[in-house]
Amino acid sequence: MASSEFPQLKCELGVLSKSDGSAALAEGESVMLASVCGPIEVKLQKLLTDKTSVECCYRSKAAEGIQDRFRETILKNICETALMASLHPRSSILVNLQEMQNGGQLLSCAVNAACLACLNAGVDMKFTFAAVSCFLNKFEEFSFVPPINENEVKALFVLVFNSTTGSIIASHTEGSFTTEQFQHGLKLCREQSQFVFKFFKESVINFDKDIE
Amino acid sequence: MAEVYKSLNPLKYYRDYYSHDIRPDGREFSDIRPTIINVGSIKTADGSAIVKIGKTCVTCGVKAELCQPKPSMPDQGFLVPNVELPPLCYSKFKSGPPSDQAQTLTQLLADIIENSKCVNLEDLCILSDKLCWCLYADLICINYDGSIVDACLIALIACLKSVTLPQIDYNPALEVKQVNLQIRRPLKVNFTPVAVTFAIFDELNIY
Repeated sequence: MASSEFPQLKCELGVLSKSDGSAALAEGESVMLASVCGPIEVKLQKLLTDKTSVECCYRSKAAEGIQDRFRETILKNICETALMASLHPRSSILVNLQEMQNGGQLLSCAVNAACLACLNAGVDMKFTFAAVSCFLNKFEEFSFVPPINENEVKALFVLVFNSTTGSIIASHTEGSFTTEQFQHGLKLCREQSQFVFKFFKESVINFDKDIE
Repeated sequence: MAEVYKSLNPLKYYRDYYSHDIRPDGREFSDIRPTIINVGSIKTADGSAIVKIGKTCVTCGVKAELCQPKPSMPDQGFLVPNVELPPLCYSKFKSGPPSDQAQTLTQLLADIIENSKCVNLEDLCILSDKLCWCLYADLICINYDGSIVDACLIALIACLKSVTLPQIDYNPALEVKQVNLQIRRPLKVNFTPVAVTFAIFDELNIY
């Protein structure tokens, strides 16, 4: 029922010299650039006395819109769950994302890039997180690769997993589908997330080797 | 006494109730708060609704305007939701440009309408590539007390179901529009999407 093909992942860590951590990630045809700064000084408005305030800034290639704010909220919620926010009260961690190329799975690419950038910055995390996009086309077939024709997408699932317990930390869906289809998509994404975590591990190890 | 206890040790306060499978206000876990819908309360709008879920209160009004369809989708009209979270509904909201939360809610509602296809946008087209309806659905939160997405969606759908659009006599050759306010037809709403908000407390109880 599902094609086992997964979009190729390629990444480069530490691409930006002036941020604390950065990563460029290509997931199939989608490319994102992420940078993490922090813990840094916090704006008085956003100051939290018990934990770090996590701020997310998402910039799309085209004109800014409320869609970007929506993505920022999703990313912020994920980062707040994963980062050890209570370690640095009265400070902030900035997660910036720049869309480079839209190949259909922007959100999962953004989440994965954010995770790699956090790893590269060395901010304390409770766990790493990986997002997987799964497409359901109009022939009711599941695929990790977006269909060439955008109109063929019946539904899109983006699921984000916790690396230690494997629990879901965020889910975003588009389109309409049945509960069974969602369950199946969830199963596929969960299996696939293991490969993404493996990719993260290899990327970080390779980066460390390069430095040495 | 309970009030003092709640503010001194809020976690324990809730856990005490939840250990008996009941909420502090006496509801079971799967019960929703009493919900009231009032439709058509704003006479000057083309459709309106006020929804209360418990103490949360959201009002929605639809304004219909005539405009030209987008060249990329000449047979479709527009349905534009907009959520406002003014400072009067919650002390943490500040006045000024729409907050991130309000923008996120707006986008979420737009996504729900688009994905559920509850309103067929082609019904809003009067003449292809020339004239269509643009429905502005403005949602204003009066009291922010949880389950805001649920309240907004109920208000929006109830409001859309009450929308009536006047008949338009359009002469494309002369580009003359005649609005007949006497004859109004209701907007067709195909589906009723429903949102339900849950929270997980202590990983055990679904609240």
